Amino acid sequence: MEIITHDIIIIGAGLAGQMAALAASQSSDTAIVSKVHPIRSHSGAAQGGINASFGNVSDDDWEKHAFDTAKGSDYLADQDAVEILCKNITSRIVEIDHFGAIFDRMPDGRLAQRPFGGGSFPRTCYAGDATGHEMLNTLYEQLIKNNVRVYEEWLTTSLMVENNEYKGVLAINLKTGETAYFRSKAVIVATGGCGRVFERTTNSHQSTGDGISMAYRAGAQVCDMEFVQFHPTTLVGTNILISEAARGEGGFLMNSENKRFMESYAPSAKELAPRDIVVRSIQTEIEKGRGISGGEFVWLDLTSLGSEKLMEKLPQVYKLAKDFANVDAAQDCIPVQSAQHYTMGGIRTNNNCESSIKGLLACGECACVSVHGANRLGGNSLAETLVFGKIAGERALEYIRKKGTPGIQREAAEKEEERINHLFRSGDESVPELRKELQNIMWERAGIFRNESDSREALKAVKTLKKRYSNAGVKDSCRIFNTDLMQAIELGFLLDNAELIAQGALLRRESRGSHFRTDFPQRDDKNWLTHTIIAFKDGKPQVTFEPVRITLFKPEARKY
Amino acid sequence: MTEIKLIIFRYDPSKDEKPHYETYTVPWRQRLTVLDALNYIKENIDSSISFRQGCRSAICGSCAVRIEKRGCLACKTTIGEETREITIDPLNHYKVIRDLVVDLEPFYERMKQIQPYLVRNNTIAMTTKEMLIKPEDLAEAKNLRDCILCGSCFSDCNTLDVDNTFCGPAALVKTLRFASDPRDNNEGRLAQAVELGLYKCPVDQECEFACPKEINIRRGAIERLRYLAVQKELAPLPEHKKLINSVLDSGGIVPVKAKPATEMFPEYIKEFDGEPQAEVLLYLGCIINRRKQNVAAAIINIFQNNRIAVHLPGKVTCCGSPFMRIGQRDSMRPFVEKNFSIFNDYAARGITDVVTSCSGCNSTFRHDFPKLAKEFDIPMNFRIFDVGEYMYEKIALNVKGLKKTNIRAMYHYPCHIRASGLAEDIYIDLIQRIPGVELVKVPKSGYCCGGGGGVRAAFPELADRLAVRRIEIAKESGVDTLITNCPFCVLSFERVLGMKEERGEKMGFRIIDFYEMFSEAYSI
Repeated sequence: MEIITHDIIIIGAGLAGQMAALAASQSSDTAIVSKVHPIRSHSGAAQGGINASFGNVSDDDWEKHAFDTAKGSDYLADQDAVEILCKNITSRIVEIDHFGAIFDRMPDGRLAQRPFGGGSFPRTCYAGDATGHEMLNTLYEQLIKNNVRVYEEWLTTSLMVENNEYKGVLAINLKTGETAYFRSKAVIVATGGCGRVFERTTNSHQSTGDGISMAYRAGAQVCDMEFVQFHPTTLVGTNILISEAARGEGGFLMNSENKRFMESYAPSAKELAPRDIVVRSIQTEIEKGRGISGGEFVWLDLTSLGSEKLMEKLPQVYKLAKDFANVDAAQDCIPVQSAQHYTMGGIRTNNNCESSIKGLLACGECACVSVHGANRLGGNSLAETLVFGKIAGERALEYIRKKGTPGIQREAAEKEEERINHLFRSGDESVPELRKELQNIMWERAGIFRNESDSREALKAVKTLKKRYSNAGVKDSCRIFNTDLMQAIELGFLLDNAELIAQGALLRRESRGSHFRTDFPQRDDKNWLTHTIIAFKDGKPQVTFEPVRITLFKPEARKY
Repeated sequence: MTEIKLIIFRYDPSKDEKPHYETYTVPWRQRLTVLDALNYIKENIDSSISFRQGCRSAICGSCAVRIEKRGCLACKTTIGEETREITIDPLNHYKVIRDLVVDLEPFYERMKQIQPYLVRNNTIAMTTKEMLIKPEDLAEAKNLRDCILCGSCFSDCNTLDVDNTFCGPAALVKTLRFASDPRDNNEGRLAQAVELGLYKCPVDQECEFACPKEINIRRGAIERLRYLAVQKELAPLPEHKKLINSVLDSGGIVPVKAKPATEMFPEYIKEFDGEPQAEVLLYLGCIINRRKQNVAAAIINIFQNNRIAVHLPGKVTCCGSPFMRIGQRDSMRPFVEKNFSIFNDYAARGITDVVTSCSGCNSTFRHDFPKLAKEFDIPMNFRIFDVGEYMYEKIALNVKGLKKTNIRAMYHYPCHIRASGLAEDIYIDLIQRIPGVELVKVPKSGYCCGGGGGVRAAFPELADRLAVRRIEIAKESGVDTLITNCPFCVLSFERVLGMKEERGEKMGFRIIDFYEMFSEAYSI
């Protein structure tokens, strides 16, 4: 097995990973290991924008941003982490602006800001409706400029940990099929979310929760996995994202009776209520038979924007509707439904992005700092990647200062290699079949509305699927670019993520943010102002609860 | 249930000596994309098939492949119900890793060559505030930001077929993205673009047709970079200057050697009795007027056979296309003024249809002149047509008694015709109205003759290789005749065939001008 040595390894090349790499590579030998080329990362699909209290459009400051974030999180976010996010994000945007990102601007040359769900002011900076694409390109350009080493199309399969201390990473070079052992003093996990757990998701095929699962298997604490964000507006059938910017720019939602139904669910914010509220409103309309033609979708009406504004502010939305739903959004309504969109939970970290395992850091969607709590505000995920990506990179630099290069975990590595080789068995179960079953059950039983028996059933089903997975085989025997093998490994990751989600959903007997239990429809601050922490110890999941850090704003009723 | 066949390129380097195709049958449904079909195959028929995929919404660029030989995204390509068969290949110009997965390294490397990042003066310190930039100052750069680096343009680039030192379209788009950013201080970008092959592009737009993000690569990036290079006196290239001088001296890119057609024919040609079906102004363009007088005669004959009266003004000047193509936009005024004032004069007399016989002139009149005319405040009281387009769309074409012509050939679709928005099918349909003609389908429309964009003048060997390549593609399809309707294409092909013959190589290949063939079919 090839041994590759660097000071710091970063797994994942999305915005958080690239930001971490730019920081860490300033004074260390840093390398990114990513299962896709950096520019293919799912960060690029982020559309609407990034929140920062520049106050260019109306008076704003970091505290107002923090308040909206905490309230949006249904008070589950750790407010000291939120403070870090909201205080630092303006500098990070200035930095990426200086790197060359082309954000939309106001006539006087300052950054333009648009309204977004759950925000009290127009606070969302944007690059048309392809903000993630713009930022990802800009950071990638900086990676090239700074000559950062990238192992692209290397699929990481496990983290080597001994005595609760990180030692190395095992990864497969997809182009050759060969496994290598990456030895480094620290690792930053930045692998994104696990949207593919669900049948309906806006996420890329790549979003399989690899880092969360690997860290969990290695013994790290995983936090708040029951909080899964569903996005209100995705194209029917394909569930391709239609940005919140569509509503921020003035689009509205209509039911089969041509009624702007959000008026009755969130009288003041209407379509710009936080996502969890809009999603449940849409789902309620559909369940009450007011979906369009009785179907599972409602209308997103952008016709009032006029074709000029549509093309200027929402060109991608226009094209997506045209290319993937055959709808001319300037003339007709877009049929939309809700789908999984974001993973609020993840690897538990402190405010320095450090996990419960020494030398293992995490940032971005795979991490749970937690700044999003029970519901993330649109525009805060890109903000998190920049702020905490940079902190992770800087913290890793500090951590490795006194560290020597760790020894090689030969036995563990061989065991892992054996596990991968063992996947080339002729199993009775098919990977796509199991994946489909998993995605269906999770959507049905652990989706927008949950209850005790559904959650129990989901958990049971996932455990059964895990057993069946041990009898699933990879038929393709060629080692070169074996996507059959890749999907089998990814299914293993998905199953862990699903188990954590289902378990969290079962445990949390209240409704908060995105987690809605029909049998416990109220928020319960007395018993549940806590994070759900699950860690794999002694061969089984151990559950603990950790109080939320309330430092700025006392929880109050959440009205929009 | 409707089914479709996917014919897929397969190659497993660990056991296959060479690639082969495998055919899979997939059930059709509404809005089925090629990526859906590939996943169907992988999940239900053959799990070993390898392809990349990601966002399935045309933003990550992972799933770029060639569908019917053209680069595109599998996720963005919807399969229509009437489709029976689709051929899927890996992108071209890259090494195949396995099946549809290619190694994009050459593409990424070319991109890295151009310093694809903002270069800033160290004197501008990072401030705590965003930079103040007016939206209009970022407008051009913003328009070029849609590129997702999928590599489709690089795959389909004609120049890269015969010259792998060319940096490719995406690197040029990226160059302009930074060159047009007021924050960028890399003064060397344009010189570097010229060095990396800015003038090696025959402006055939093949890249643009492949681009899934519909980036205006040719006019918006390549010709714009050429314009900026001219502003900075990095261009035109010496060979282009000669070409320009020839136009300025004689009003055309080819010198006058024989009597021009405009002098052979009267200004007004109506050789039939009775009322004309239509009356047009025929703009021949310099090549047909000075070199291909028989094509001019053929077109006039076609029009006479269709009761179309022709006006052939002698005083028109060059269309200016060579200037536009190499970046001399600022020299265009006299061409627009002179030609359009003549066209407007005829329009004032009721002759509002201007028909061009050269596709280069047509494309320039259609795309560049209206913008320029607006800038110069010149009205446009007429409409521009191509001869073929006019035959097909404007008149009831007389096809009675067309003489049988026994010929097996391939149609070469000129890029300027395509750039004018005229479908290939128009010309294929016209050709097939001549009895006896058997047309063999081209593997992909959009192969280049090498004659456009000033490439022939500056890089004659590159242009020749493109022409030879096009002929070879026809021969590989078992055809020894190309029919086309652009004088640039005809000259390009005749040139390489002539050169080969001089060297004693028997090509056994011929080029037929569509108008001559059609005119011939009228003569009984």
